[in-house]
Amino acid sequence: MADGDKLHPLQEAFWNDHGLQCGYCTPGMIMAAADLLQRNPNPTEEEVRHGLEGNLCRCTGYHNIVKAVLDAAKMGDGGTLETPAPPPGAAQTAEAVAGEIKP
Amino acid sequence: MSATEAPSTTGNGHIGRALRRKEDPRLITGRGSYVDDINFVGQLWAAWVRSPEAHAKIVSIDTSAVPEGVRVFTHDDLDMEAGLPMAWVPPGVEVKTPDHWVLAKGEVKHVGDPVALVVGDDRYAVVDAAEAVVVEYDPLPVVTDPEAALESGSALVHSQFGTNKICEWSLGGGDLDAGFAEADVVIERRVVNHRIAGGAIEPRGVLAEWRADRLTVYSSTQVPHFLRLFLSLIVGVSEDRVRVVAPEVGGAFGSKLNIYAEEIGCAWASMKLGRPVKWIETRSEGLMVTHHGRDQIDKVRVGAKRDGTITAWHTTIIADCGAYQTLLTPMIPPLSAFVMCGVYKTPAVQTDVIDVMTNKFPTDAIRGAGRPEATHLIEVVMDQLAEELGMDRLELRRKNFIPPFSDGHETPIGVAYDSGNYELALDRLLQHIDVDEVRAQAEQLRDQGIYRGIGFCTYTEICGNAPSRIVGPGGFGLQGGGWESATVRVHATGAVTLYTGTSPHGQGHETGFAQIVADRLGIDPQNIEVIHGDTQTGPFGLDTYGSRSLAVGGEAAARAADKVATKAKAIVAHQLEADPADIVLEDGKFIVRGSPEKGMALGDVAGAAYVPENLPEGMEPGLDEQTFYDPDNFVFPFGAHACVVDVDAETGKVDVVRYVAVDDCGPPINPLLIDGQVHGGITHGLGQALFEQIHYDTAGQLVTGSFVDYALPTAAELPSYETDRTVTPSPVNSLGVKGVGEAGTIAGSATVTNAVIDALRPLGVTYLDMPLTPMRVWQAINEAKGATP
Repeated sequence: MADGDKLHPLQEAFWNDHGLQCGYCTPGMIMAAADLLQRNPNPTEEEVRHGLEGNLCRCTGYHNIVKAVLDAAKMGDGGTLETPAPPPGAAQTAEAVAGEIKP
Repeated sequence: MSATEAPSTTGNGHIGRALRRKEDPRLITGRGSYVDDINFVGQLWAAWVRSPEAHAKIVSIDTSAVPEGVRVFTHDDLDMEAGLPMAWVPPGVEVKTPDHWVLAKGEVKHVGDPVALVVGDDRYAVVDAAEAVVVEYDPLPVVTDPEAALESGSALVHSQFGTNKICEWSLGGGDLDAGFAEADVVIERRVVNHRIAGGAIEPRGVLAEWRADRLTVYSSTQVPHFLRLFLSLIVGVSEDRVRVVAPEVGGAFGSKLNIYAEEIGCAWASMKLGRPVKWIETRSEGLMVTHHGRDQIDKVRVGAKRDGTITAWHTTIIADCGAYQTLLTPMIPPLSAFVMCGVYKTPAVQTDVIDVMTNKFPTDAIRGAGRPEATHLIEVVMDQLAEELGMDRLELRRKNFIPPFSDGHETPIGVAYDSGNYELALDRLLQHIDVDEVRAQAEQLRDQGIYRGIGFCTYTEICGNAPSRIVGPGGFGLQGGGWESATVRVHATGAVTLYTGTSPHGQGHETGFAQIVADRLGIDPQNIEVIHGDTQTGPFGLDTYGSRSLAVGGEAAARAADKVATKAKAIVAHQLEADPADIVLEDGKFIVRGSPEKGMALGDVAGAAYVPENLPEGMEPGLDEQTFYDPDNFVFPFGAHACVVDVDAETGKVDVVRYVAVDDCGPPINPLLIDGQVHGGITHGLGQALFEQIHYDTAGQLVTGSFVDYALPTAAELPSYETDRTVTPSPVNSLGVKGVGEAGTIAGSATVTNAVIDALRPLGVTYLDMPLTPMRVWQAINEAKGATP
């Protein structure tokens, strides 16, 4: 997610807010949070808590994770996170995969 | 050394700053290396054939269906020097400790007991191969209830002892009979503190390599130094040729404070086969064969005068230790006894512990280890006593508080608290939460079928495990010490490496310890690398558990840094032709007092120490110092917690509305880390109170063997927490610090339980045991109504 040395707003927020301790759940939490913010750029605390329900953490009690996600939402340019451009050919691959799935 | 005599630091002021963690850049970019991220060329994979029976004779083991190329080992193949260790030998107390082999010998004693070790090339093929091993069992009678296990005629877990009782152990002080005789009111309660899991999100894992007569073991452990020692003793390799590395460890909470069969088994198999052997625990194995905690039945009898003065407190603990004894199993329940006075003046206190065997996996240390159980029973029973006396709960507590003390308070049981100000913590808590306001809200919510309650807990605990003369073989009986080591190595450029004997697994030592050393040496914490968890680097250490790292290991780091500073001052004094006593550290420079223009930074001093052309007469070159620090006492953090809950009377569901915690762990080194520890700690206590339970049925089958059945709290079930602090320095160490890793858990379960009981009192519910699941709460409401649920 980081662009070279430039951290993604979520990574920055997890760092600033002590949103991790042992670090084991962190990649999953950050990815789940990124997905949440893409769908809902300005979530309430309640929405963050429900949005992260599928990921378990035993260290933080979620307090600072929730705080980090809310802070990242504020940091990310009005809540919109930059999505990196997909790698070349990804769109075709996605189309091809989608073509395989018939309703 | 008392806190007031603490050596002056640089004034750089890194101690006390909410510095964001040095650990995090690698962890937020997916570059952490946990055991499962490490692989060796040619490595084999291990899997275990585990007993589906809780108690049975092994009749036969048929490996004929195992594919070629996969090796299967059973007990008869093991040529180890010893079984798995148990390290508590209390003087004058007989502890019945059965042999505990890496692979079961003749009989299995619990579900999951390993019967065979399967090793092969492929991670998935060995699991299939383990399923192809056919074991015939002849079932034996099972006992899972510790009280039933104590009755005559009970099924015996280890028949050679003729009993399931492991030991009886007591700690008391004051005149109990006189205390009860002068009591106006005596109440009795039976408090069940059920079995829970550590629940670390990273499962355990081991990678062992035997190469060129040397053994290297990577393990997801809290205790790499212990593991090296026991590996050496069990597999028979001299300690100097054993290296244990705890890489990134994904949480532990006590559950990785052990010497496990899988660690020894993989090391042994690697030596047998001459190839690296790896095993990663599955989640089901994690709940089945990573040790559990708690599982006490506490029978409490308390006497008090009409005015609320407590006169006597007697607790009998029946502790379900499970089928074997792992590293500290029978020692954990006695730890409850050390804090059975709580924060109160109780003149006569007696705790009798009965450790019992059942056909379940062993219990051992889980976050708080004995102190959550004690605090839960004390604080829940305080509320019960207040109700009996018709007295306000907080008034009862204030009536009995030990008055503030800054340099020692001897309890009747001989435990000397270091410092405390319990009234202050409670006052601070009440600045954040208004009981009358909660009561008014409760009135309004009642119409909607919501019962709002508020609960409190005022606690102290014992941590900073040390001092060796008290905990060691001649004292409490732990076969080890309580000291900690640190080495501060200043490199020629002035960069610093700190080696600590503690072994963190998420706490943030790399940051907090760097802040301590930075202030003692006048450098930036970013220029201090903290190395831990590798027995081949720093000195022998005693690892991380029991909230000991900062109070013991952090103080060791401070003392090693002080030694470096002392030598640095001598070098600077010599170079500047001044008296060493006149050299002070100011703004990152060693200067002659009052002459800031003349001075040397640590880098200059290091240059002089490693290019030693102008050192004081007789001084050795180099700038590298080591300390072994053995404290004079434990430390005793304390605090006051409150919780507001809403209970839906129709469904029994409990919602935590607010949780406010005031904790005192002395002067903060890094407030960010303290809050993080408190948040996680509360969640573990709250999780036990509301959701989590390791449950076996009467046949000894584990019912809660996955995270579907074992309900770890999720973000959606918790509130944000409100935290605050009071600061009462400990006189025990120069930093004045106390541990904080377990405090939240120790206070948490009682706070929540008292809140739920408070909510339900209008419905006639007066007492409840954890876990307060909707089913249990709903049943209690209906029973109180006189209805049949």
